[in-house]
Amino acid sequence: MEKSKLLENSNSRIKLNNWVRYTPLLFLLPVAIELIIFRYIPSFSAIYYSFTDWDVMGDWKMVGLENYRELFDDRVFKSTLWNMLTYTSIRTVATLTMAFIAAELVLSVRDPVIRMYWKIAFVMPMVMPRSLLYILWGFIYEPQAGMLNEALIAIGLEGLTQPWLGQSSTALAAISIIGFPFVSTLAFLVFITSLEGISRDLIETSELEGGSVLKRIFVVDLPMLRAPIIFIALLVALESMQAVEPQLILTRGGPGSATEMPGHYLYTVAFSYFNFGMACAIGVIILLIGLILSGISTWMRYRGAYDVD
Amino acid sequence: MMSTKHGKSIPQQIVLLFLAIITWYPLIFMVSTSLKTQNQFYENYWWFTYPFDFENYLIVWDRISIAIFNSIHYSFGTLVVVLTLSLLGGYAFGRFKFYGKNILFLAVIMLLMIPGILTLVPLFVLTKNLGMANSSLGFIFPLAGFEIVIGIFIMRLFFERLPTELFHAAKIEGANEIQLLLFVAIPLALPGLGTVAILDLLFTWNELLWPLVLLSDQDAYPVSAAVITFRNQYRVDNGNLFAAYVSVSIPLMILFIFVVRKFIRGIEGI
Repeated sequence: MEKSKLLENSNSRIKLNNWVRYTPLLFLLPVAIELIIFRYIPSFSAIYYSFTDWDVMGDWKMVGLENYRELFDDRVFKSTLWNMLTYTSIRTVATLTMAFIAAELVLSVRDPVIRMYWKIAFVMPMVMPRSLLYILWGFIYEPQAGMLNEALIAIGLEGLTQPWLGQSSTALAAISIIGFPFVSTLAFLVFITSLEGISRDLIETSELEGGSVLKRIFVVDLPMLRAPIIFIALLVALESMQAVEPQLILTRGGPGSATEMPGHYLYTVAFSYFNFGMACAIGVIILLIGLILSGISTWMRYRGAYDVD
Repeated sequence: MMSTKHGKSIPQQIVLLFLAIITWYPLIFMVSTSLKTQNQFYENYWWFTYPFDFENYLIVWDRISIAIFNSIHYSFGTLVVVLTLSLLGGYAFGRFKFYGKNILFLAVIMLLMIPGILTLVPLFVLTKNLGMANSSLGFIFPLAGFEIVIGIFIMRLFFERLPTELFHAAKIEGANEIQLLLFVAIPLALPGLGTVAILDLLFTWNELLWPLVLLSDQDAYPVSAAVITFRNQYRVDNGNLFAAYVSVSIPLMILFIFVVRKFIRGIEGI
């Protein structure tokens, strides 16, 4: 009697254990289905099709490295890589610098209520549709009645007015600084949050030792913010690398190929020339550059950092 | 004491004010221009002119309301999928210990490094083959695939911080796993879900490339894509054009006014 009850008990425990063991996997099942269908399959097939001459009719045969060879013989494609490098560098450096400066300035406001208002003032514009941001900047750059030219005329510098997006000498720089002063960004919010997290002791110690604010920023704040800074740098760089909006909305890659970048080139190759295989090859090149960037940033994050052994 | 604290930061606040003006002026310009007739626009370029001309809004409303409705429709669908899957994924990774957990989590997080543009063409062909081209499902599921990665990450952190005693107590009371999820986990997870929801809304509302590739009917465009067609359509009249721009910015702005503090705190929690 007692034995059978024990057995029953242990049986039900085994069942329960099995159920408990599979519970998390059951919860993960819908996630797995979504990610496999809409992320993993497309990613692997992009790599696979980059070795084929896949076209819009759905026909394809293996061509080996032919797509990659053609791309590296293509002068336009090579210039898109240089444009991407310029664009990504300008945006990453400018975003990090401006967001950090603004975060330090807001932090120097001691009153928490006023500080919250500054945060809100810079976070609110984040919700404006992003394509609208590009359109507005297009309006700023417009040759006739554009804000920048009107402003130059208003302060008597008529000689400097020019078609900012219409000439290859200024177009790339012009699209690179869209969104200036880059304060209304996630970077700002992450920096101010991290700065507020620095222990008051560290800051007071540095103040007691008679260090200037500038010294505190370089000796305390920047090293303490190493992780978020590198994280945000990677995020901004990866996003800028695959930019298509400035071209789609403003320049179409022109004039000539002055503002063409791999992301928009991929879009053009795919949906204007219908060369899907080649488009996938461009995607793989973007992926590889991104992986290299991620590798570098991981290395920078941990090399000689104070917070890891 | 307080006054010296205030006094100290005045130069900083002047610089901040300057940055805020540069950030906000394009938005103010957008509003002021939307309230002008063509003549008023040429009279005073930089600032508001009186009387306000609200007719611009009436003229563009028919076209705009379609786009706004589309965006709300897509955003709501994506939100439901993203919140459900982020909750399930975050809960599974955050509360349970199981064999292969770290590898599975890595398999999810690694997706952050796969650029969306890489999968543009295969995803388009796949969506088309699934019969989802030109449908809201074809908009919702592929975008959700991108958004749940960060959603699962945030929800995992959130569930890991909850005290396990809560779940033990409910279990002793006889709750099964489904009840635990519905009546213990979800109510506790609301703040985390709120952060995920806002990030998700910003992402969906802003997505431009996918609707352009997926939808062939311009009447199905969400606002991000529709503003580009407005630009070509209303080019001759700046008042109309900017009224369209202001109208599409308003829904998310209004929502954000109510949640901006929670959003800032949510980011602090990550």
